[in-house]
Amino acid sequence: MKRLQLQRWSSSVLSPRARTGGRLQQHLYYNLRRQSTVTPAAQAENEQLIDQQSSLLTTQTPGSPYSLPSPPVEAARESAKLAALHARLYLPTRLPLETLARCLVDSSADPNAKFNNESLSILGHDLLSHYTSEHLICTYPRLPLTVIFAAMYAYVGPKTLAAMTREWGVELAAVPGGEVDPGLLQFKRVVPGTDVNEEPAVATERPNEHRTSWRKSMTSRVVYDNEFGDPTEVKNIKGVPAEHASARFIRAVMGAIYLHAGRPAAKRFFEQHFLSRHLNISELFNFSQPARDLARLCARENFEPPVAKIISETGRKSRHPVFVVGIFSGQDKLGEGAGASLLEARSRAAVAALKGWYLYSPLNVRVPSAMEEEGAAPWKPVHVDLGEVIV
Amino acid sequence: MRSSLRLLNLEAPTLQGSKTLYVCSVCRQETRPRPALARQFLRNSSTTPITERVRRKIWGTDSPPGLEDPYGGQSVLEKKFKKDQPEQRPQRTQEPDDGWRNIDEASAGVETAPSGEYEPATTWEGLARVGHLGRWTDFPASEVDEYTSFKSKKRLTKPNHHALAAHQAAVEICLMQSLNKPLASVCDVVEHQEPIFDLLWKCRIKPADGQWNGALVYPDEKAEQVLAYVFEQIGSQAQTESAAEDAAEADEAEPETVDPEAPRSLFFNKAHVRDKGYLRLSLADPATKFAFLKRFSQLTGHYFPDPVINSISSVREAIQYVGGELSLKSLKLDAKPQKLGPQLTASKTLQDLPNVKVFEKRQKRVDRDEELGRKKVIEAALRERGLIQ
Amino acid sequence: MPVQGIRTVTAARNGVGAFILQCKRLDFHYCDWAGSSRGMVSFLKNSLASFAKANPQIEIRVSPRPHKHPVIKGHYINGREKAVCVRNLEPEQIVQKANLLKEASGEKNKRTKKPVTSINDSVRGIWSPFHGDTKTV
Repeated sequence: MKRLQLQRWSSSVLSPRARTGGRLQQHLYYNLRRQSTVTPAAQAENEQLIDQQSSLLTTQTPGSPYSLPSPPVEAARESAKLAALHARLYLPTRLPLETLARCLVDSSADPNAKFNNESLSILGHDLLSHYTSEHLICTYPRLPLTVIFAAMYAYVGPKTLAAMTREWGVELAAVPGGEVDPGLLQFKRVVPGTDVNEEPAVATERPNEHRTSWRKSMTSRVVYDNEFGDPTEVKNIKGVPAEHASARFIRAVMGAIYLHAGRPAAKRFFEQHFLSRHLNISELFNFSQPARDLARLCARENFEPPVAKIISETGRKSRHPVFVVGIFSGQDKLGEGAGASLLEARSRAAVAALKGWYLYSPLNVRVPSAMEEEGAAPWKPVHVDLGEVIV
Repeated sequence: MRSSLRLLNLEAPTLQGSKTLYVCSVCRQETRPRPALARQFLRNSSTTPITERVRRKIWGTDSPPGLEDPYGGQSVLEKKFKKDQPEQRPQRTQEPDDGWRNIDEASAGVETAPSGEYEPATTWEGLARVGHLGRWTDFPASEVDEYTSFKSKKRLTKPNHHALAAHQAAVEICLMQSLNKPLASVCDVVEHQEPIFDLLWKCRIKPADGQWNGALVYPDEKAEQVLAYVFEQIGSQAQTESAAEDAAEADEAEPETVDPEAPRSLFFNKAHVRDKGYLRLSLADPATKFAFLKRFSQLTGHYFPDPVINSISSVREAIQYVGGELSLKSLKLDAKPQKLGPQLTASKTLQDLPNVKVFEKRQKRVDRDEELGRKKVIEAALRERGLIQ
Repeated sequence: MPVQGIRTVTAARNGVGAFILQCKRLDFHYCDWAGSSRGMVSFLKNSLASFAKANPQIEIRVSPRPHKHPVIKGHYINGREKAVCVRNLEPEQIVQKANLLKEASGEKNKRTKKPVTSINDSVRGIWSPFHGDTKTV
């Protein structure tokens, strides 16, 4: 019977829920111009400010669509593009076209929170990271945290979401406005000439943030950073890259489905569009010293220390020697690898052994959110692992 | 120019060019007769073709066996044909010079009778002449060249004449209907003789709900018999071809016998129609409508275009059209073809489909710019530079 | 740091979870005047509604293009376009052309040499000369 290190696994299993609250707070915190408390008065003041901004921006007559920052709600019924997108994604009929149109308006295009997708995208973002993280942790309980972060990034990272936006056939509007077709993704583009490589303004609740030379531990990222292990970026007022706007659109669609069609529909949508994508997790590992890691792992798990043995070889004295090396722990072969030198073959064998350990996946995986359904079978605890080796 | 030729040119002026006036060097090259020597240097300069020269070289003699030009010229069959009829050829070439008028006269006299046996013709004599070789204006007009108009040459313009014509046509068609004869055959008789015309004029039409059956009211018994007798013959004359004697008999009794010289003044004798019942006759039945309009058109000399025929539904309307009260414009038949865009936008089925968008105007780049939101930026930039107002 | 994660992007497998039709838009152009558009006009009047109803995921735009032959233009998710000129075609032939454009992927036509292409690894694995029975010379 192995020991459970409660402190360590709790952070990874419970992280999405813990982060949800954190992100919401962060969002409100930045949206309200760093006001310490959220009060209705402050909210009203904020809307007033927005109204003033929009009235300053518009010089056209108030009746024309040009005076609006985003297409009017009635335009959603007129747009063929929007209806086609709705049908293309097989969205439930309970999700109206108006909501889909709202999902396509970024907060940089329309600052009014009643007409942009910000609230929906926050909900969708939390749902996506929740479903993805529980899927990853339950399916591969032994994955190192860094690999989980990378896998999360691969499944629901902004790059993937931007690619999905393209694959859904969503086109981008050049400039947002009331006359624009509501079926186009609308956001304010980054002004040409701005330095995109500029260090983004970063805000976390991490203590001692100003001490740049201090090491940021991997576990602290679970608490303080976002689901990919990156520090949360402050919203840029000047404009957003297309990648971010696309990501927010997809998250907003997820949130809208959850709100209009309910949880089962949202889960189905997630499985059909996100989990069905292909990702080879074994390619996400990047070991620096696999042999050392394997030795530590064997020591931790009370296995016999690993021994590398040559299984076969050819052309040792030739220009192209090949060695096949296996790593054995007692009688058990942990891994095997072929390489042009003995060291290379040994490290490949160690990598194979480590991947074999880390990529363990139990059969008949159930995720905790499956219990939310009506009449679900009683919960059986999933496999919980100690986690990666510490060296 | 090859060097050998140039050498020859240098020699030539000394031989012959001394007496002539000055000619420029280029022209001199052109005009000068070429020396016989120079011809040998030129390719293909000899009169014998190259194939012949090759053949001579192959056979080794100046008169090789076989064809002169095996790959060109006339074929073997052609040559054989030429040998068989050496005396006919010159004749044929002469014929056009003799004047084809004679040919035409000769052929015109010959009756083209189809014989039982097929005999391939060797000459043109005795063959049917089809078409002409020109100068058709010199021939007299033949039977088929004459044209007689179906409609009366004079158009009736006065309204009472229109009414008379319509009445007559209606009575005639009623008669034909009661006699169970083909309705359109009333047009075979262009104009009736005066007593018949009077009888027709005296007939009244009292239709019930615009029906043609039984609408005709005769002035008396005698008139009914006479008209029935007359109109019985009209159909039979047109229909029966087998009984030739009957037709000959009928010809004498025919009241029609149109005199082309006689003035068509029958309508002008009568001032008005005796009743207005015929106006209520319906033209719903296509056969009746066709027969009536055909006869009416023949009598009045007015033409009914197809769309008008389609839209007319009663005798009154036909008279109105002839009188000019109805026109293509008032019938809305001269409208331009409808555009597809408005039809599609108006269609309910397409409106219900959310993924269909119909544009009535051509979509241009400006429209795309506006849809993408780019137009306002472009316009603002142009306005800023003072390029648009 | 014992192990680092490598950031990648998941690859789409259209049809494995959800299927997305690759034709996202069809433009129908016609001319009101020209005779070559006769079939197209008849198609738009009679069969367009049923075609659009059968394919709700395609945005359909109908616009006139005066003094030009009728054209169906397909816009695809990969950003390419395919246009088919349907001059003098009958409405049934135009339906066929529209279906052709609808079913296309938008890629250029290319020859398929293998019956199956997959991004998954082969189940059998790759043959290795160093495993199995050792051969002695």
